[in-house]
Amino acid sequence: MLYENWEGKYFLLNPASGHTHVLNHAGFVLLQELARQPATLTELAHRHLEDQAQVNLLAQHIGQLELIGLICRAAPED
Amino acid sequence: MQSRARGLSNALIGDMAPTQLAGEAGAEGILYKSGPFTVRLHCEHARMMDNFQQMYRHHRLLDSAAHIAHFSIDMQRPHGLRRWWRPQIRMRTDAQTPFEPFPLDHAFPLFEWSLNWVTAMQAHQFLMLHSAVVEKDGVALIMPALPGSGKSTLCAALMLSGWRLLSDEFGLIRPDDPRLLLHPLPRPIPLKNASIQVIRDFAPDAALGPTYPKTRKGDVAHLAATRASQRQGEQTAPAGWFLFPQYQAGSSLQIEPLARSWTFLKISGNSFNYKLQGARGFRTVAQLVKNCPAYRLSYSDLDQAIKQIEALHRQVIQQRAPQAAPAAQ
Repeated sequence: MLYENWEGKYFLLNPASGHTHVLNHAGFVLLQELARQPATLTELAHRHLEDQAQVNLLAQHIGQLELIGLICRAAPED
Repeated sequence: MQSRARGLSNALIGDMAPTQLAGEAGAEGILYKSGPFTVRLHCEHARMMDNFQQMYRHHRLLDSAAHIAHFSIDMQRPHGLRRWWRPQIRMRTDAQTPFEPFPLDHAFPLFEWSLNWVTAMQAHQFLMLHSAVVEKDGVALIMPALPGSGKSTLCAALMLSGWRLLSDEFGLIRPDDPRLLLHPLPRPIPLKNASIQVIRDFAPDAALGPTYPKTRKGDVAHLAATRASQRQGEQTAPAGWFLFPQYQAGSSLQIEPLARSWTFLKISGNSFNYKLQGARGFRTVAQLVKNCPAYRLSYSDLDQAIKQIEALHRQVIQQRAPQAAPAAQ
């Protein structure tokens, strides 16, 4: 992952699109975790979150990362 | 058959007889060196070649049989009515005519914009920052071209105060070159509207060409790069620092350091081909931002601004010295 961190902002290159994205700390940590190992929303929520409001926020975050092409859905396992 | 242009090889453009230069340009065309590029120019308009000669006096002609042109510009007079009634000129390059024809007496601005266009479209061996670049004491100052910033005016004033012009438009860097060297492209500086008189007042002897009224960018007059700038057209300079100038009439001089995050966004967003360069572009801009401090300068008085820039430049060079020492061993 090609990135730089300045003043709490993460500048990240998406080599597939050529776009550079600016992420906050939470977005960057989430992306790193998904880059290490694919996970479902439920798995991520179990690891990190305590209430439904936070889960909703996480879902939004994941949706944004998918929208800009930094993550994609894995094929459902058989 | 030996090229007619072969006899011109290595001559300075300014040393040519104007009729010979115009004759060659209108016949086989001329080939000349401009920074890292060779340019082939064919031109059917002798008066444009007078302007060209005035602006490129210290550039060298090349043997057209022995060099490959990076860019080929053909300035053509259209046939038919427009050759005589409200005469026009058009530019062709690589069998394309990317722009609408211009009035014939605006041939030189069309040529200059065409060169900008072919450079931006083709020179992807470089990361091309949309910036003015000047050099003093072996270190380059990069001034990104944010809209309305007065970049060209300040660049012209610095050049007329003894700085070497690398470019008014292109900060050319080989991607992934750890030395972060800026390559010169010392072409004329196009001054627009009020800037023309500002520079005339600043340096009454400045080598300004004719004013072209009512172009697409308003009134335009070109300022030739100084002799030293043109003659050192292949001498690179390492990137030293960034300055984002902002001319504000009546404002007092203000200087402030800029955050790296802001600088990265502005430099990458203001490049002609950052996205096309992919990872190489990202790494190069990141290296620039890490190594080069950045400042914003608000000014209304050119003399004051130049004094401040000179002081900052000395400071940057002093701070670079410890880094430069190991590399020099």
